[in-house]
Order: sequence, then C-alpha cells, then structure tokens
Amino acid sequence: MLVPFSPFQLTEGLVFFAFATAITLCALGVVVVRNPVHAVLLMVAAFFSSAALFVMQGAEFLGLLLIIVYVGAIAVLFLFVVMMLDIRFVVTTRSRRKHVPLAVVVAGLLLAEFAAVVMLDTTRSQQQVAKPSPPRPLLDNTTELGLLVYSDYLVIFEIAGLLLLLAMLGAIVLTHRKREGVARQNIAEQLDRKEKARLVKVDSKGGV
Amino acid sequence: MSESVSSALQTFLPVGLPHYVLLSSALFVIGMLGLFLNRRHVIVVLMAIELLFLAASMNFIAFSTATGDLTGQVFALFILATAAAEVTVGLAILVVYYRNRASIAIDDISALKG
Amino acid sequence: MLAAIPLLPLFAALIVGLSSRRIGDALALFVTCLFMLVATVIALQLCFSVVVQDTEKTIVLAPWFSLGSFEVAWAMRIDTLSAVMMAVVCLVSTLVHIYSAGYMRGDASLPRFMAYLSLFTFFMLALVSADNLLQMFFGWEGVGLASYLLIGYWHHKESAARAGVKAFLVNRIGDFGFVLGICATYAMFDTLVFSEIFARVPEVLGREFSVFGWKIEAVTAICLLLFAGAMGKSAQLGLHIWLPDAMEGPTPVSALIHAATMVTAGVFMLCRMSGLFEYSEDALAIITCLGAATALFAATVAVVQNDLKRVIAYSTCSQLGYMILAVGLSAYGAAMFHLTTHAFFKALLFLAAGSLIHALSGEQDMRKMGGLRAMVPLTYLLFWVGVLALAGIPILSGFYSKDIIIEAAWTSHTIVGLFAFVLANLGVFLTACYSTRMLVMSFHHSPRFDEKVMTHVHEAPPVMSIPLLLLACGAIGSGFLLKEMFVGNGSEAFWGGSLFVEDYHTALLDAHHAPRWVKSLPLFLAVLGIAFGLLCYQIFTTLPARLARFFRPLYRFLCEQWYIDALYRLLFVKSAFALARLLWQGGDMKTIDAFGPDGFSAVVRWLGGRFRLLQSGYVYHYVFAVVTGVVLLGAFAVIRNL
Repeated sequence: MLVPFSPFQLTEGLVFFAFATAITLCALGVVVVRNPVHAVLLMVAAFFSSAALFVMQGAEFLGLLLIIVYVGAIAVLFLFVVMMLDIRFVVTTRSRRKHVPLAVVVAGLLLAEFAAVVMLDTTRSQQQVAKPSPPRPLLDNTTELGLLVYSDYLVIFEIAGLLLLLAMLGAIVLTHRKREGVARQNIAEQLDRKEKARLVKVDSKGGV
Repeated sequence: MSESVSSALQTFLPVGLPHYVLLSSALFVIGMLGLFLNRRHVIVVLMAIELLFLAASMNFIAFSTATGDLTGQVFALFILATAAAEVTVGLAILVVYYRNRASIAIDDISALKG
Repeated sequence: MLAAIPLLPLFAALIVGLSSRRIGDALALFVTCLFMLVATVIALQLCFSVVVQDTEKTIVLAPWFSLGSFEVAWAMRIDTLSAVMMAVVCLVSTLVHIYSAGYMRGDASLPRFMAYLSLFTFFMLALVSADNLLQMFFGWEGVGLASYLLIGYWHHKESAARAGVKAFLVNRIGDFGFVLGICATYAMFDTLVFSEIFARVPEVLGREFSVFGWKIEAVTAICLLLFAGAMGKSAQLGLHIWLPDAMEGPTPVSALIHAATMVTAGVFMLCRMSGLFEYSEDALAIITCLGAATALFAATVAVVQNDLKRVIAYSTCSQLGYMILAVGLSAYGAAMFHLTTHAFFKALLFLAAGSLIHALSGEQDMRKMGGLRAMVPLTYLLFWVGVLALAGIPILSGFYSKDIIIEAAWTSHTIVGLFAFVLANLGVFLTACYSTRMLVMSFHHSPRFDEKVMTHVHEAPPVMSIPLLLLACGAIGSGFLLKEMFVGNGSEAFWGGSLFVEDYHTALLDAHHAPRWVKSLPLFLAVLGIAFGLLCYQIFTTLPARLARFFRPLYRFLCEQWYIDALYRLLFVKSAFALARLLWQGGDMKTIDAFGPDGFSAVVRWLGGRFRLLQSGYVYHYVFAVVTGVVLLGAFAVIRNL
C-alpha cells in the first residue's frame, strides 16, 4: 500500500505537514488576533516551526540562527515595545469589515498565481532537480556556510555588519531625548574661554 | 482502498521543492493579508512584515536544498540580518511616533489624506 | 526727386508718429508742416512742368510683385491728372497742417494727430500717383485707414470711435467691389498697369463674364465693380451713411479728408480709368443717374440739419454727386474742375466753421449760435466767400465749375442726361437755400448762446486765419483762372493723354454752346435760393417752423435722412448682430464650449473629484492597491504561459 515510499519519505512528509500546518495557523493567528501580545507569541511559535523545517532540510545553522536572532532578539524586542506602549484594544467596527471579502479574494488570487507557477510547470515539478555532485566531500552545514561566506560573500557580510551598526545607531538617535535632572558634561562648554576670561591691566599694588 | 490512498498520497509525497515553495507562498500571502486586513495597530503591520521576511527565507532555503548550492542559505543569512535591522529602526520609529501622537491606531495615521 | 512728394509726408508721419510720446507739440508741428511745405513746393513745380512742358512719364521706384506673368511695381505715373491732384492734395494738406497748429492747440496728443495727417497725405499721394491698380488700391486702403484713425482720433468719445468704425466698414463694402474689379481687370487684361489696360481695351470689347449662368459684358462689369469702390469712398447714395457721422472727427480732419481729398479719390479714380469707362455706355449711364440722385438727396437732407458741420458734410456729399454725374456724362475735365474748386471752397467752409466752433468753445448746433457778425468779422467775411462759391455765384469759382456740369447734362441729349439736368438744377436751388440758412443762423440776429461762451468769443489767431485767407483766394480765383485749361478750349492740350474721351461723347465740348436759357438757369435758381433762404431765416423768421409743422411728414422724412440709416440698421445691423449673438451664445457658448473646454473641464473636475478619494491617507489602502496590481500582472503572465 505504501510501497512506493520509503519510511524516510513518509516520516519526512508527516513532519513537514505537521510543521507546515503549525506555521500557517500561527501566521494566520498573528494577523487576526486582537491582543498584540498574543500576536507576538504566535509569531514566536511560527518561527519555531520554521526553524524546525529548516533543520529538517539540512540547514541547521540557519534554523538555529532563526531561533537565536528572530525569536531571541526580534520577537523579544516586539514584546518589549508592545508592553511599553499603552496599547488599547481597538475594536474593528462592523463597517470596516466590508473590505474583508475583497482583500481575501485578492490574496487568494495571489496564492493561486503562485500555485499556478509551481503546479503548472508540470515537467519540472515532477522531475527532481538533479543535484550536482559536490566537488569534495561536504563538511557540516555550519562549516560549509562559513567557508562560503568568508570567501565569496565577504564584502556583503561586512556590509551586513555595517547595516546592523547603522540600525543600532539609528534606533538610538531616533529615540534619544534629553531628560531633565540628569548630570551630563558638555566638554566644549567647559573648556570655552570666550566670555569667561578677560585681560585686565592691574595697577601694581592696586589689586583687581 | 489502499490503491486510492496510495495514489492520493502520491500527489503529496515525496516532499520536495514544490511543497516548500507553496508553503512559503502561503506564508507570504498571509503576510500580505496582515498588511491590509489589519485595521488595529501598527505593531501588527511590523509583524506581518516579519512574516514576509520569513517566507522569503524559507524560499531561499528550499531552493538551496533543491539545487545543492549553499548560496541560498547565505542569502537567508543576510535576510535575517536585514530583518533585524529593519525591525530595530521600525520599532524605534514607532516608539517615537507613539511619544508624539499617543496612539498607534492605524486609522489615526491619515495625514496624507487628499 | 519726384518721389519725394509722397515720401516726405511719410517720413514726417513716421518720425513724429513713432516718437509721439516724447516729441513735443512744437517740434511735431514743425516737422510735419515743414515736410509738407517742401512737398507742396515740389508738387507745384511738377505741376508747372507738366502743364507747361507737357511732360508725361512713369517713374519706377521699386519692384513689388513679380509672380510669373503678374508684374506690378511701385511706380509714379506723372501726367496732368496726377500732377493736378498732387498739387491740390499737397496744398490743401499743408494749409490744414498749419491750421491745426491753432485749432488743436492744447490737445493731449497733438503729435499723434499731426502724424496721422501726414500719413493720410502720404497715402493719398500714393493713390493719385499710382501707375497701376494695385498701388492705387494700396493708397485707397491707406486713406481709409487714415480716415478711421482720424475720425476716431478722440477715441475716448464713444460716438467718435463708433463713427470711425462705421466709416471704415462702409468703405470696406465699397472696397470689396473695388477688389473684385481689380481681379476682374486682371482676369480680362492680364495686367494691372493703367497704360497697358487702356491699350488692350479695344481687344476685349464684347467679351463677357459668366457669373452663375448670367452673362454680363466684361468691360461694363469691371466698370461697375470699380464704381462700387468709388461709391464707398465718395459717399454716393447707398454708401453715403458714413460721411455725416465722420464729422465726429476734429474739423481740420473734416476739411482735409472729407471735403478736399479722400472723398474725391473716387472721382479721381473714375477719371483715371476714363480710358476704360468710355467703352461702357451702361456703366456711364448708371454713374450719371446715381450721381444726380446723390446730389439731390444730400441737398434735401442738408436743408433740415441743425449741426453746422453736418450741413457742410451733406453739402460735400451733394457736390460729390455733381462730380460723379459729370463723370457719367464723359465730362471728366468738368469733374476735375469741380473737384479742384470744391476743394478750395469746401475746405474754406469747413475751416471757417472750425474757426467759428473754436470761437464758441466747441458749440456746433446752429440753433445756439447767432449774432456773431460783429464779433468775428473776418470769419464772417470768409464764410460769405465760401457760401457764394458753393451756391454758384459768378466770379467765384463754384459758378464756373458747377454750371459747366449742368450745361453738359443738357447737351448730352440723353434720357439720363435730362434726368441729371433736372435733379442737378433742383440741387442748385437747395444748395443756395441751405448755404444761406447756414450763414444766417450762425451769424445773424442776436446771440442764442449764454454769457459764459460769450466771454470767450474771439477771432481766429493768424495761424488759423492765414490758411483761411489763402483758401479764400483759391475759392475766388480758381474758377476763372483754371476754366480754359480744365474745360475750355485749351483742355485737350492741357489734359493730354491723362483723360480719354470718345469722339462721340461730345457733351463737354457742346456745353460751351448750350442755349442761353440753359446757361442762365442755374444762376437764376441760385439767386432764387439765396433769396428764399434770406426770406425764411432773415426776414420771416417764424416761417421755417410753420413750414415744418405744415409739412410734418416730409420734414420728418428729411430729418431722418430719408430713413436710409434706419433701413440699413434694420436690414443689416440688426441681422448682423442677431447672427453674431446666435453664433456667440448658441454656437460658441452652448455647443463648442460645452462640449469643448467647459465640458472638458467639468468632466475633468468630476473625475478629479472621484480620483481624489483614492488618496485616503491610509497606508493599507496603498498596499492593497500595489498588491492588486501585482496580482493583475501575475495573472497576465500566468495566463500567457498557460
């Protein structure tokens, strides 16, 4: 009955569908739920499931990176902001629901187009893309990735680093504000001589 | 019955590129829905954008696995970095905006109204 | 050097006209009068040389058109006719220029006026010295333009502006006929140069034009079309309506343009084209009838006018009728003779009237004049000279010129000639009547104007009275001095080749041998007319009013100028305005604008209003729009690759 398929394939299929369902449901939840904290948490769940899928495909470095960066940093940042801002629950009024059908239709069309691209290219989709045999035996994913990044894509890597630096600076600059009652120094002001000293001719034995 | 199940299963297995592409498309579309279905907070918009990034990464990884070329994963790495940068600045802007307007309801942001 | 005659006034006009805002009054007057004076001297010298030495030539100044077989050049044709006209034009123009120095003193834009006067003189001289129809037309149009500019000189006065437009428009109607005549001439003769036309006339006799299936003899057609132009320019019955209104212009303008020169351009043109008109009996007959009708019509209307200048204007119209009538009788010499004498005494009358109006601080209504005999004696005397010349009293010039015309009408021994004879004589009687009336009402009895005007009454300054005296000399002397040359025994030699008369048109020659009673009838009627005028206005002063009441319908008829103006207004003006209004509101506004710009703008505004709603300001709307676009593009791509 399930003869054509190997256990590996079956397992793979099962795991894939499980996680795919999880991702889809969590993503839908993100856009639909009212409570923004819930939305962030659902997003975290979606990321976790995606990481699992990445690991399943053999891109374990990226899967873990997803968890560390996306969940550990970005989602946490989201949570920080959501908690910090006093967000009221905004209730969508009935009149605003008029647009939902049209939006869903358009989105459905978009999905249909993607699907069409995939499904209709029948010759290609059934034929497994032949993987070219690697020139040398592969090491683990992380090492291979590192070898590639630090040789061919070095410049982009450095630029990505710069990008992150800029983002950091940008965030600081944007949100920085002067606060009252904080002791700070303005070196230039301290060293400024212009109006603080003047030359006076003093008579001897006269004093200032 | 086993034949029909087997033939049914044959359309879905083995799991290959099309599956992942479809999944990433669905994720992308959900992200889009989030962009324009949402009438509540601006935060949700940013989260929807995160979903879009995720969909793109997934696509890259899928193709990388399918072709055996690691370039896809390298790009997924960079997408990650970009997403981080973008979220940072986006949330910073949001915070400052909130400071000025005390509200992040979407319907209040309509200064471009013509 | 002869080209200087027309060109000097042109330069004066350009110099003064282009700098009219900066140049002062004195300098403008000096330049224009000086240039005119020099031009007059040259013109008189030319006149002498042509008459005495019998020179006839054509001077080519510059090429103009040269299109295949159509060759026309700027050229001056010097013969007796043009020399005489140039002399008259220059002389009267110079005197008017000098007169204007006094009359228009204090006017706001005097340099502009002087420039216009000189410009007019240039065009008139170009007209009379032309050697081809096209150059004559250039001058023709130019004098029309100058007339418009000068009539509407006081352009802020609405009646003046309208009168200028009316003059121009009515002239235009005549000019249309003139242009058609030029085209017909070219079609028939293949040239527009006078000498060539006259040479080719015998060849084209008997040929016909076919117009909408209706055949007309070519020469007659051309003559009638050209005459239409003359009708407009010389204010003949039908196209005369502009002349009375033209009195809105300053008096020097009336004297120069509407008495001596422009209105005589029509007569001049007919005389110039005598080589053509002689061959068309029908055209000549029509011309005679129309001239006679004009002469009588204008005289009847002049009798009831109350505005001094209008009386003189209708008088001009009437005298032009005499000149045209003479042309129709092939008595071109008589027409030119009357043109010359008329130039003098009519200009004298106008300028004297101007002096009178000037003395009365602008009053032109004769009912408000009177009693000026003692206050402006010189003007009074000169007025008498003009009146007697106009009426046709012996010694004075009008007697000779008018009488020869009436005699020629009798001796032509044709029906039209007889018709003209009767009308012309009636006209003589009426002319004497209204001239006497004019004089008596203006100068005799006691003043009918108020004290304020009384204090300003003064005799004309020398700058105005000297031209008047010179014109008076002309009015007195030009008759018996020029009689022999223009119409007498020496006339054949005098005119030479400039006037052509067929051998069988002997009206003018026979006029000298007309029966005694024919010769003395006009004089008798003139004296009768003067007596009647004196009777009505000097002695029994209530008589005119009683007559007017008694003949009320006739009086009204005459007052309304035989209702011609009213008729034109009804027929043409009203319908033209109605058509214009229809086209404007119905056609332009409702149709073209509604479907065009206004409709467009309304649609665009509506569309814009709709499209504006797209700019909601909500980002998610914009995102949705982008995504929809992507979806559509994708659908297109997918379907294409199915």
